[in-house]
Amino acid sequence: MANLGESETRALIQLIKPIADDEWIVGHRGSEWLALTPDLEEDLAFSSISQDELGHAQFYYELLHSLGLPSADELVYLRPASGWTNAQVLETPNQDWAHTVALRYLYEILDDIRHEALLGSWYQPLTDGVRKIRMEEKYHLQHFATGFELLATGTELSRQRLIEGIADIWPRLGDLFAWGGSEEFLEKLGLPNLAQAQLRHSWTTRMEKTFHDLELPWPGPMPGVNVNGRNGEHSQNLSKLLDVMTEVRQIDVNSPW
Amino acid sequence: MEETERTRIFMERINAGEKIEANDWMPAEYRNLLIKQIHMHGISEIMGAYPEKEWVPKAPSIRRKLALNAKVQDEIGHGQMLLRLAEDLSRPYGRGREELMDDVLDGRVKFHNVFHMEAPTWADAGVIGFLVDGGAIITQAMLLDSSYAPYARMLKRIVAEESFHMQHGEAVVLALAEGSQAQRDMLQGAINRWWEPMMFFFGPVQMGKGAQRMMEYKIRTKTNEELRQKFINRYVPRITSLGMTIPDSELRQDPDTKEWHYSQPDWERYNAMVRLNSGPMSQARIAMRRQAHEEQRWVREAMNKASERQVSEHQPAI
Repeated sequence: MANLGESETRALIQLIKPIADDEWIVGHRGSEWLALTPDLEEDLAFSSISQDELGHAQFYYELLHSLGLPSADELVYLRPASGWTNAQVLETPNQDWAHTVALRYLYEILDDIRHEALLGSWYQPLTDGVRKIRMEEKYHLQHFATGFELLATGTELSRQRLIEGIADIWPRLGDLFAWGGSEEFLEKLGLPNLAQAQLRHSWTTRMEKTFHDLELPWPGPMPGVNVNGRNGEHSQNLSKLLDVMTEVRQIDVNSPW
Repeated sequence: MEETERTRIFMERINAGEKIEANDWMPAEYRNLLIKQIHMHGISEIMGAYPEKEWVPKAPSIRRKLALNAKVQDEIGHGQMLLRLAEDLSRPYGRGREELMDDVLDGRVKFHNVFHMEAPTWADAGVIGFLVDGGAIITQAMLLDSSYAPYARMLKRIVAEESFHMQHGEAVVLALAEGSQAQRDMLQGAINRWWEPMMFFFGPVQMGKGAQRMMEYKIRTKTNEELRQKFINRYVPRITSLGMTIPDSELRQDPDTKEWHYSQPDWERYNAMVRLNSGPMSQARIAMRRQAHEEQRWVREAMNKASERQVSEHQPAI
């Protein structure tokens, strides 16, 4: 982009990379559920959603490539764990169905808030893509909101498992709302609504309503940022995920596959 | 009308090439053969998801990951559509989705021999699309003219999708064939593993009684051997043009009859594998289905409970 200054380019990369990585890791973990969800109909819906998420990540990676970063495939397959900027909680290995539904519902709300705010960007290649992405994300949110509600109101067991899933996820949510480094870049991009404090506020407001409506116990104070995935700080879970994901590619990095 | 008279009229319809619909009267034998065929077909589609599913997290590029994910999703979609047909046919027996799926876990329904096999490399993921989906297109194409209309209609869509799968497999295979020595070796290894199971896939030359009755009812229209010959004829040039070899020293074509002569697969071994679920991966894959179906029954129960409650809450007060 000839008309982008160096600092604008840097700011856009700082904005887009964590979103791209969140979407990719969520899509990857989602694809691990293939043929393992509770029924065939859910399998069909969930695998569509996973493909959408991977596709959104691909859109963002291509945007990053146009801003001077390596190609989308290189970003996915040749980056060490320390180069990934996804939120840590998303790299958690899949557990039971209630855990996945809880994590995805909590994530989709944030994703919705984030995408809505992104529409305010002056960078048209971004807003063009986000507009399309939002049409799909609407259904993802609906899907997991329904799943969340059905588990909360289904049986004693499903409600219990949902509560346990939320309790496991909650303390590790901190960096989901965070950015890497200082938030000055958001000023440059004219996107103040994406500041961590704003995201937390909007997310908590919506979450409190859901928990109230479903009479779910509020899991406790919102955790701060202990480790920041946005700065490349990750658990062993991400290294393991990347080892599996790049296993075939590593046989011959340069050969076409 | 008496049963024998009804059966006579039914057979007249079949022989005149008429198609049977789900609500038409049909002899119990016809219904049972259909249930057996479609149930096994549907379950094979679902069990066929597992060998490839393992490779989705490891697919070596974004494009391949998306394509393989979509392919596995299609297979599950086929399984779901076919099971719905089997559910319709099984209604007089009071059996639905839960029971038809339980049958897999209890070993009461078989699935294709190829899905009992290991898929240890990325090349296997490609070769499954290339050979197994290619083989499935051949067997399913003959079912397009099946006397049972709902099955024939559904197969039209399934075959169309299978041909995309075959092309996907072919694209993976081509990239490997044009790649490094390591990639070519991986491909040859996978072809060596899958050729013999594919010879078994079409079934014995001397067809069993059930298969023969299916021919008489025009549920299927070609013999096992006709299908196998078609497969060999199609794949010998495809595989050799990749610079790969076929692991059968007996393989040759009669110049006059054009019939292919081939080594007999180990009938006993593969038969036992399908009958007893004793293949190298049979139990591991059934365990995955158990994880999905049995171990998550609590989720389906919760969904049903919650939906019932929502419906009753929205009922107008009387």
